[in-house]
Amino acid sequence: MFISSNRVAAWAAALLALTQTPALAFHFGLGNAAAAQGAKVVNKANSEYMAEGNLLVPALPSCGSSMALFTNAPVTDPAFVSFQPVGHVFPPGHTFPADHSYFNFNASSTALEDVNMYAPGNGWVTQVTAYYDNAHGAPSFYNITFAPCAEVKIINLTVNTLASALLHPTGPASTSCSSNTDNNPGVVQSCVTNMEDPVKGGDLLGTGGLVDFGPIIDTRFQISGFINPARHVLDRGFCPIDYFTPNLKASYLATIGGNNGATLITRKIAPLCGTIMQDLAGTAQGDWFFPGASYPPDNAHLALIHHNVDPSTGTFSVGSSIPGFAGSHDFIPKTNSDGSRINYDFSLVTDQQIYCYDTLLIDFVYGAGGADPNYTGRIVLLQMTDTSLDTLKIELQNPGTSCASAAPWSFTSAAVTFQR
Amino acid sequence: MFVRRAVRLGIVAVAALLNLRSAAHAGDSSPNSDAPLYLQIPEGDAGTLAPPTKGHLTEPPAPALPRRFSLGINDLGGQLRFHLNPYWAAEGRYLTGSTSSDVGTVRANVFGVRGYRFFDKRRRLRLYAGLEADYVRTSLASVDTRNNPNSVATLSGFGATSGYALGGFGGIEFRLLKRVALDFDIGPYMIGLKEKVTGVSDATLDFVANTAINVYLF
Repeated sequence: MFISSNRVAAWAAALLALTQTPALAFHFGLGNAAAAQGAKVVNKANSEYMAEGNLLVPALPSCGSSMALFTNAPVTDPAFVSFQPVGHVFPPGHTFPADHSYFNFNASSTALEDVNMYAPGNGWVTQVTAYYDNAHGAPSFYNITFAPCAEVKIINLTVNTLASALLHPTGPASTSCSSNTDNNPGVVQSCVTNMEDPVKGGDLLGTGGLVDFGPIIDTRFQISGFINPARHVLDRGFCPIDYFTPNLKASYLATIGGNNGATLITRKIAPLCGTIMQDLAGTAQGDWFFPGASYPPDNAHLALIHHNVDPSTGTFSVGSSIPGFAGSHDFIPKTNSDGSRINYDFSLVTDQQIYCYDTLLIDFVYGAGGADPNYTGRIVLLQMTDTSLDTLKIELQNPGTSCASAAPWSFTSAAVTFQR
Repeated sequence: MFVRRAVRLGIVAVAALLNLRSAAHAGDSSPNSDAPLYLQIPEGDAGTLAPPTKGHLTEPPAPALPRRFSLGINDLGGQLRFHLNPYWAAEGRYLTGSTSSDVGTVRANVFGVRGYRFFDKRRRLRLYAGLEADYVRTSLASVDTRNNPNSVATLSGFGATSGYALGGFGGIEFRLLKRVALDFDIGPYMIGLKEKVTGVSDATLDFVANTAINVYLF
C-alpha cells in the first residue's frame, strides 16, 4: 500500500493548519499571488509617497475628518474687510460660479502692495508658480499652493513678492518652465516649482497682489447636486471659510459679502459662504454648456443663477456664445408664478414655454447698480425645448420695448442652444 | 510571531510528507505489491536451479520507458517538465495573474523553475513534493487617480515592481488518460517585490495552490 488514506488525511490536515494561520493569505495560482503582492507594494508606496507635479515626496499626513485645518488669519492687515462668498461670476473667465473666494480690501492699490499673506495653518507649501511678463526679468507675481494635510489644499494664493523661505525651499524641489500663462494677461512664461516645504501657521508666504482665496480642493468630499456631474470637478470649490477654526470661521462669516467701493454688502442668505452648485433639476436654473465647447474654460458657456452676495437677485452669466449678449447681468426675479412668464426666477421656469426677461441691471457689487443703459429696450427670451428639460434655447432681442409689449415672443435664427 | 508559527507548522507538514514517503517505501515489500516477481539465481552452491515442472520460463516484462517531457497548462500560464527519472523532475514555468490595487490593475508575470520528487504511483495517483524559485515582475495598468491627483501613481513608471518568489509545495498528480495528468499542489511561498520609482518593498509569506494539466509527450 503506497498511500494510506490516514496519511493523506494527516498531510491534508497539516496543510490546512498552515492555510488557517491568520497572517497567511491564500491564493489560487502563483501568478495571482504575485499580483496580490504587487498590489500590496503599490498600495504601500501610494500611501507612503505622493507626487507634487513630477516630484516624488513623502506623503503628507491624512486630514482625517478634521475641518479646522486653518488656525491662523491669512491676512491681518487692517485694509482687509472680508472674504467674498464663493460663486462670484465674471464672464467669460468665470461664467460659471467661481470655485473660490476673494479678499475684500478697502485701501488704495498702492497700500495693498504692502499687505502680507500668512500661512493659514501648519502645513506645507507644495507648489509655487512664478509668472513672468518678461522672460528675462523678475516674476510679476506668484501662485502658492498650501496643503495642511494630504487630502486638502488651497491653491492660487497670489502674491507679488514671495517670502524668502519659499524662494529657497529646504527639501527637494523641481522647477520646470514653459510658455503656459494660465490665461493671465501679459504673462509670457511661467515656472512651476514643486516642493514640500513645511510652514507653520502665521509664517509669511508673500506680500502684495492678494486677490483669490482658494479654490479649496478636498478629496474627502464631492460636491453633489449637479445635473450632469461628469462635466464638473466635484472635489474642488468648497467654501474656504469652513476650514478655519470655529472662532475664525464665525468671525469671517459675520462679515462675508461683497465690497462695493467703501461699502461692505454682507450676504444674509444661507449658505453664507455661497455655493458653486446652483443646478436645479427640471428648471432653467444652473449651468448650461455650449455644445462642442470644452470645459474648462468657462468661456463658451452660460449660467442662469443667483448672485453670490445677494442670492435674491437673478443673474445671467453669459460667456461668448450668444450674439450681442455677454457678461454678467442681474435682474430682480419674480419668486411666484403670475402667469406672465416675465422675469421669472430661473427656478420657476419648469416647462417648454418661452419666458422673457427685461430690465437688466448692472452688477450692484462691482458697479453703480440700477438699470443697465446698454440694454434698455432689449429682452432676453429663453425656452427649454425638449421634454427632458436639458436643452435650452436663448436669444437677446432688441424690440425697443418691454417683454409685455413685445409679446407674443418668438425666436429668430440668432437663438443659441445650450445643454446640461 | 507568525513566522515562528509558520515554521512550526511547516515542520509538521514536512514530517507528514516524510512519514508518507517512508510508508510508500515500506509498501515495496508488501505481499500485495504490484511489483513483478523475478526468478532469483542462488549464489555459490547454495542450491540447484531446476526448471519448473509446469509451464515455461519467461523473461520479466521490460519496465515502461519513462516519458521524459511533459507540456502543461497551469494557472494562466504554461510549463515544460523534464523527467530525469521516474522520481525526479525539473520544470520551467511561466504564470500570469492580475488583481486590483488602490490606483489600478496590477498584472504579474512569473518566470520560474521547479524541482520535483515524485513518489510511487498507486492506481492513477502519484504524490509529489518540491521546491520552486521564480523571478516576478508586475506592472500597473488602467491607472485611476481621479480621487487623488497627487497620487504617486501619476508619476511616470510608477507601479512596476520586480522581485522573487520562493516556495515549497506538496501535491498530487492524477492520471486522467495515458498521457494526460492533472496536477494539484499547495505550499507556502515567500514573495518579495520592490517598486522601482519609490523603492518601496515588501515580502510576504502566502499560501499558494497551483493546478496544471500536463500532457506527457515522449
